[in-house]
Amino acid sequence: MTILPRGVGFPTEKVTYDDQLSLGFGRLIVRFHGAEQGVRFSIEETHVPFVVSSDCPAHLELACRVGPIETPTSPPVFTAGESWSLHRDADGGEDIVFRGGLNFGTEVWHLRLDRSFRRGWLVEAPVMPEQVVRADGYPLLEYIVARMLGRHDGLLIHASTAILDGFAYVFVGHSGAGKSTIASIAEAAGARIPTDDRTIITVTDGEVMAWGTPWHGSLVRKSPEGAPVRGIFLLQQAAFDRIEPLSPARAAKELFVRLIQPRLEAGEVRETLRILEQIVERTPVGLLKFRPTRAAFDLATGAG
Amino acid sequence: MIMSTADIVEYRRGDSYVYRLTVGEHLLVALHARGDEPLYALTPTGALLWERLADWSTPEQLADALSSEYEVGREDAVQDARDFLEQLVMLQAVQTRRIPT
Repeated sequence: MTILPRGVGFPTEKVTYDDQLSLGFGRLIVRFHGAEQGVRFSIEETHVPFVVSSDCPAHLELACRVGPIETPTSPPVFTAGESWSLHRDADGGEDIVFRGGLNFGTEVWHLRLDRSFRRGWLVEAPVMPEQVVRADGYPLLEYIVARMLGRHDGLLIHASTAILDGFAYVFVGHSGAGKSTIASIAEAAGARIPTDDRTIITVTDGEVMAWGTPWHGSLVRKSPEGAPVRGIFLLQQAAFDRIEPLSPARAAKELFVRLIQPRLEAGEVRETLRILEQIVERTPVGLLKFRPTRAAFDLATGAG
Repeated sequence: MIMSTADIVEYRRGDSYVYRLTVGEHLLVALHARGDEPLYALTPTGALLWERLADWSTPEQLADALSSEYEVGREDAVQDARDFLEQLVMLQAVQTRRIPT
């Protein structure tokens, strides 16, 4: 399927799947399947490249259906404004209720994860006329992946990624730092851009890899492609181009505050710090002071 | 129960922060998106006291821990422990309890 280069604010087509749907992010696979017969799933076309074979073993199996949401009776242990709340079960599982609509007044999804985070249940309220489970719903899917990565050797960070000659260059920054700008420059220079806003970084057998995600960004350049990381750069717009290497200690702190992680569970946070430690010990991290020109990207890749 | 001003106050670290030594930095991470700052770096002495705060401790006991590891006068050690605890209380990183004397 060709993904049209549509920008934010333009409608995209929905694609529907019967009975089951598996999505892959980095090395992580989440499988949605019907908790009863006849359950259908939908995703935006931007997520279609992230569909993987249902034969792939999943890290998380979610049994899904459309139906009324039963609000957990236990008090929430955490609320993210009005948009979602987390409840803990006596058996160590978690219940998360996501809200939407006007003033977040409507309960949209109820996600229940067992203690192992290997199995879960998802109910979508019948708020949409299609009566399908929106597997890519926001912030549902990003929440699931961010939590799961904290248990599977990975992390999700505010970063665009450019892949050139088989290596990934990761450009990190909060909104406005220039992630999309440097991605556009890199693309013009011949790089592929699997994401211009959210990057997954994994460490497997000592190898640091960066992967695309379907989330956010100003352009629809999204693919699940991954590549070994050759450099990580904190973006800072300037009147000149220069790379200032960061010590691993500073790099770890700078990257940590740019992660997308709810920080809900101590074990996940410790694991994230462990992964971060491996990343900064294996990968050069620098502050890229840059002008929005090709020279900045060449400097990052060593071509300048 | 009416507490006397002479009551002993003990402190113990709460479960809303995670500590990990990461690339040589003693990092303290706030869980549950507590506060504006997600991340703090402790000094080696702060890390020593944080470890000690796994058990209920008085400032004097924490000062003993400092004195056993570092060459520091008793008075300075107690003051350092109190200053550190004050910061942890502000961060809501420790629990407190009073033991009647």
